[in-house]
Amino acid sequence: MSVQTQNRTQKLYAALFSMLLGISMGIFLNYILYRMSMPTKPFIYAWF
Amino acid sequence: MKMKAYLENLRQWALENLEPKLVMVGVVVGFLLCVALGHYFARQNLYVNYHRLHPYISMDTQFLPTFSNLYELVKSRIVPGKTLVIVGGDSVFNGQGQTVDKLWSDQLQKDLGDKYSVVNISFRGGRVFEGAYWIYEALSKEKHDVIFVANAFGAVIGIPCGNTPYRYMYWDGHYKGFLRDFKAREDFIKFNSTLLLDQFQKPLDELYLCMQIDNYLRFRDLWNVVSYRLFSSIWTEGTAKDCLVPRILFEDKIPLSDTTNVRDSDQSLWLNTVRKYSQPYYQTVNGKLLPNHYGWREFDLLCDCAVMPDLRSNTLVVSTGVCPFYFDKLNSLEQERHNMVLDRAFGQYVRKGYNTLIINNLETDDFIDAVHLTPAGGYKVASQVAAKIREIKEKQQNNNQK
Repeated sequence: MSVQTQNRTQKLYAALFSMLLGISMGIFLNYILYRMSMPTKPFIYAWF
Repeated sequence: MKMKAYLENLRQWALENLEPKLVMVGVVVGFLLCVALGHYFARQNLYVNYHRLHPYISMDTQFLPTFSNLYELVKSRIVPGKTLVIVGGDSVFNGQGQTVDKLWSDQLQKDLGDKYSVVNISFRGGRVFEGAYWIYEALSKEKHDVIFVANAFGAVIGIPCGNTPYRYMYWDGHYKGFLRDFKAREDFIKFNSTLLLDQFQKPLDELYLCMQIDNYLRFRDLWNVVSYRLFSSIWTEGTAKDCLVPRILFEDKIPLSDTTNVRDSDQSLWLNTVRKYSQPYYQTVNGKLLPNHYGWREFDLLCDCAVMPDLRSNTLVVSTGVCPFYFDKLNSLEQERHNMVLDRAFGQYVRKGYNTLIINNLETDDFIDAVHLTPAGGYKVASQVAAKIREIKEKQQNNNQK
């Protein structure tokens, strides 16, 4: 494999990794919104 | 040291190879993907083999059903040619004390037969016109054949835009456009802002903001699906070591209780609870009961703005009463007050156009404590509610023929 092809493959992997990292961060941000919408403490139904 | 070197290498690699623009594009794509999925799942029925909202799919374990979740669940029970019966109310109609195979609302389905489809979305700790009622109101936009049934204790009604902890449901439905315009309710909210405070006595601004944002982003719908079907991400005492297990795998484990619990449970706590049902509405002066006009004015106002007038003729409010064991422990004045409140409150429901059913033939053996029912008690209630529902339907059919 030539050096040029090797560099191109490496760049492709880096781009792919960058994209996947970004997508994971986007999903995580969405999840954070969900967690922020939850009550701080669960409501426990009191039954004597 | 090894870890530090590894992290340093990773940082170097990231600086040399990561493409910031692509990372940002990924963030936007990932977030929008979640939003799109949230909107998609908001239109799907989430629940499988559903009987009632048991603790693993309710607030007890930080699983907050969204308005869309419950709306789609109820819609999935609509069958052409059948009358849909939505069961609301509190833990009594949720079946506290009854295992899922002896649930009163499943018995109600059997008693009503094939012409009806029953769905129980009552909340433990809920009020008579919360949660399930708002779903009923939302469905009324589509002109389905629906009857709403809920249980009530005397004049306990709650405010029309939800009480702790289920008020989130009201604002969820409100901002997502499920609820209808109802001037009496809107006026109540406008002029009673002091009643709309959180547990720290602060306005509910955070709740409003959250529900407004969720209307567009639907993160609650998406992550509820993930929690229910894939994995749960919240630790609670109720789920403990199984906190990662998807909620679909949790069984409804509300235990079977029998009437021995009536005497074993904390009697003074229950007695105080029973007294509280009637205390705000009459005061004792010189050994006589005089109405508390402030309490009744509030009840009458809430009667007006809890349920939309055109939905009242299909609304059935049921009183299952108090266990005779506890009722007998009240003094004669307290007993008289209790009965007077029930008569006055249910009389007002009738005057305002609601249907009512007062069940007063339950015995101590039908209760597991002061208010909750054994399976046998639940079955007695089911047969009487079924008869009343049939009566309402017949009345409607006769009116339509005229």
